[in-house]
Amino acid sequence: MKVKIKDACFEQANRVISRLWSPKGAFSRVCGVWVHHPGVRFVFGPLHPSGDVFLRRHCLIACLIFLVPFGVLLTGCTDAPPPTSDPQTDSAGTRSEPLVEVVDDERIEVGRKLLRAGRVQEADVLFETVVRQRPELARANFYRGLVLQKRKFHAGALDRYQAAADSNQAFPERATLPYFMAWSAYHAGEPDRARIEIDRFLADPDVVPRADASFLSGLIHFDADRLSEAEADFRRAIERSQASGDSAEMRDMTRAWVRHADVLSRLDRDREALVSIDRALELDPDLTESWFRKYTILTRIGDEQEAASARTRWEELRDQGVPSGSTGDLP
Amino acid sequence: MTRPGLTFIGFLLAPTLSLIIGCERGSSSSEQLANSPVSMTFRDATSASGLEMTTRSGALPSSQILEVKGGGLALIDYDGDGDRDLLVPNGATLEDPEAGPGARLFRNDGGLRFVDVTSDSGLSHRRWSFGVAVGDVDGDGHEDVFIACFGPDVLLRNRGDGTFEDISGSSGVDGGGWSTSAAFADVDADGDLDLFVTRYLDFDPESPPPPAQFKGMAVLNGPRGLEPLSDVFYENRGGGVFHRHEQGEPLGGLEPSYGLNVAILDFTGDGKPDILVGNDSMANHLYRNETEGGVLAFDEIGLASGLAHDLNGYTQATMGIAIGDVNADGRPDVFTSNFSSDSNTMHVSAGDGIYDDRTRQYGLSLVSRPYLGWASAFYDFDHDGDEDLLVLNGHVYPQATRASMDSEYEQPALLFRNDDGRFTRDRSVGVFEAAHRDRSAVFDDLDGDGDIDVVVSELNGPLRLLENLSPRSGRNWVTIELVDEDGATANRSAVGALLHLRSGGWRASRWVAGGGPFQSNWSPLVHAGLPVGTDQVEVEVVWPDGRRSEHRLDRGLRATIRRTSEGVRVESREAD
Repeated sequence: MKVKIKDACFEQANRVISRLWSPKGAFSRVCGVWVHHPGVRFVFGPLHPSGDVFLRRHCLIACLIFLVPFGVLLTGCTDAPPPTSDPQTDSAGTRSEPLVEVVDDERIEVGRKLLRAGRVQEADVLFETVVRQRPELARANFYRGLVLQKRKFHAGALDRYQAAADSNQAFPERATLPYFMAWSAYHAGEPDRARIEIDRFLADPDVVPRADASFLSGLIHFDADRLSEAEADFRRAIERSQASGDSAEMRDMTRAWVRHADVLSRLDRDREALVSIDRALELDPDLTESWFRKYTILTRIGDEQEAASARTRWEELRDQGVPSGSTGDLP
Repeated sequence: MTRPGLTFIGFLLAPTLSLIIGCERGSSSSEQLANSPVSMTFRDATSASGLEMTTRSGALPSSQILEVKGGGLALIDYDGDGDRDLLVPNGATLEDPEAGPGARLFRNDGGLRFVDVTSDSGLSHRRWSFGVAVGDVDGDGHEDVFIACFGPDVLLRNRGDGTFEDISGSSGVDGGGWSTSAAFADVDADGDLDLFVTRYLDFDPESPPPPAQFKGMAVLNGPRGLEPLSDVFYENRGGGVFHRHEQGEPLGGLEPSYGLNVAILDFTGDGKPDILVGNDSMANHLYRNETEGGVLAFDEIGLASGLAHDLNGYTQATMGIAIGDVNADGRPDVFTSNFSSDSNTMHVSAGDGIYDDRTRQYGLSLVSRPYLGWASAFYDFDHDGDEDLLVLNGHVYPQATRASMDSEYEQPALLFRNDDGRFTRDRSVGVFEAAHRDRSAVFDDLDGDGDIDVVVSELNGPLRLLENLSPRSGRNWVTIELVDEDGATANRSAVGALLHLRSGGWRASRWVAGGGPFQSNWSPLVHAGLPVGTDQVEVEVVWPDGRRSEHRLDRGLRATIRRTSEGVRVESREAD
């Protein structure tokens, strides 16, 4: 981690140096046509973009060491500036102050009932109204985020969740915030944020582990090409769903089997991947993704007959209008 | 002296000593340079370039699907002076699709200076235009231009004196409908350039479809629900006269589709150029070339190849196509840009025409979800020996916001640096961070300094010329142009050629392909950044007819490899 931070700092310093020496940079303006003179390069040696990278790194570190005591000395002479970050949260967004209880808005319970009844649009209108009238109410923001997430407005949901997280209010669903934030961040294309939130959720001793939290963790690892971690997460998701004994949750984790197969396939373990696909098909025989993967893996390993059979089934399901995911919600 | 005192003196001396040692050690060590990240640097050089033009594609904000694709760009050496000029076919409006502001031709005078020579060239093209392809259709040594239009397509013959004549009718390529992209390649191996044209959908400006719903909002309609059109293959029967093949033989009994882009090169590794068609919201097509003895034949193997869908078997909205060799195995890998809330896709060749969706492996998946991608290209922008990736973005719906669609209407580009086989977004380049409604782009070393510059066409916006200023000290490159004057072929720019480059353990491959990033053409210029410390590179050219030649090129030179009836020779010149 330290190395990564150092590399990032050094990369940034390199950029600054390159800009300074670029045709419109400060050094070039000051030095004019002499910018490329060997003498100038000699004097500025390690601080020239063409200079020795190893030495530049150490020169920058040395300069930093040299400047820090002066900086401390100087800032010590003046009053310390007020902290710019939110004093209630640390850098990881974890609260360091106790949460406060607030009076709930009774409309939230109405909205919850609407959600449970599947009346998402109405719930959306209601929660939007509550948030507009009481923007400070964390729980209202949370539910507004939940509704937006259900409606696949992930960026908007993320904003509401963040508003809820930023407040100092206690509400019953607070511990699940990182879980929902992680999913929204994932769908909104913010994998780093999703990683932070799902790690926070999974590390919380007060929440019951959920299969789909491990599944999401696996997805994010898979996206980062961390295959062993992804495989472990998908296995954990499957085990948790099986341990739950809940048939709906197990069926929901069919996708974990499919993604598990994807990881194995990436590792050139196609035979094992086929076993995972078959487990997925046992749970949900109509999942088009499973049949497509079965077809592609069988094609790759040369089992043309079985591949043709899988392809036929995939085409049947596709033609039946089973939603085609990624572009299925286009007009 | 106390210990803190010594430490303080140490701190004081450290920078000075480092500076002194740094001066003694002198210039760069190649091993360290090779491992150091190089920032890519571009600047907007439009203002002084002479490329003053705002393209037209309907109204802004767009209200119909005809208005949202924007127009392409063409790199063409129309005057035969060795550098590539820029042709902008331009669009029109729904009120009068036949009479837009007109095409423009800009002559490249070097040093990123362009001169508008439209009137001198005789160009009077004003029809609403989309894609464009460049090739010498009649084998007279001059590059001609095909323009894919809304309405009859246009073929402009380059007379060789700086002017063009419209030969659409006599050449037989004046098909109507809505054509989007086009590509020249010698598909039937008879020595002349054939033409493939993708077509989109049936649209009547006088009776436009009503708005559709997307995420609860009324938006412009299409493509789903509108009538797709079939693509067209034009077989060059010599002298620039074409025979039209549509649905049916030799392309097979294909269903019409929402064709948006096309790439022609050998995707299957059998030595014949195959045709990849990127379709919007439908499966992509890959026509495997099975032509034998001059008898045209294709087999559509999109599904079997893996290129038709993403990993999940879902269709995507393929717009941009980029070809590279991301794993340096000598086979072409295919990147496609797609709709927002979906992922761009990196299909990696597994050989024999089979492709795997490896988007996640290469770090290109989640990062693209907020963006709607168009023109895309692999180039080694920073000359570190591997190809980076640039994707231009912009939403089709003017209503798009982060809150309403998880995606803004105007979007920054996605610039990825290749870090040891995984792509990392580089947000340090200001000109790619500004939000635009970008659509098409062309890539070329326009100033002859050895690196790749970019011209971007924004929907109803000004052209932007982005000059590559990435640090070059200690970094090296070669550029190669193939010229085939064998006499047996009219394919002078060797479309269909494959180049393998190597130096020590470093390997790279490049294709001279038909098609382009989006509605535009790929430059015939082959460019490669080289690993630090490379002085020479070995190049094997597989010419379109399968014959091979091998060469050794010095770094930092612009090489032309010319094949004549007497043999193959290399001509090199310094960078400008």
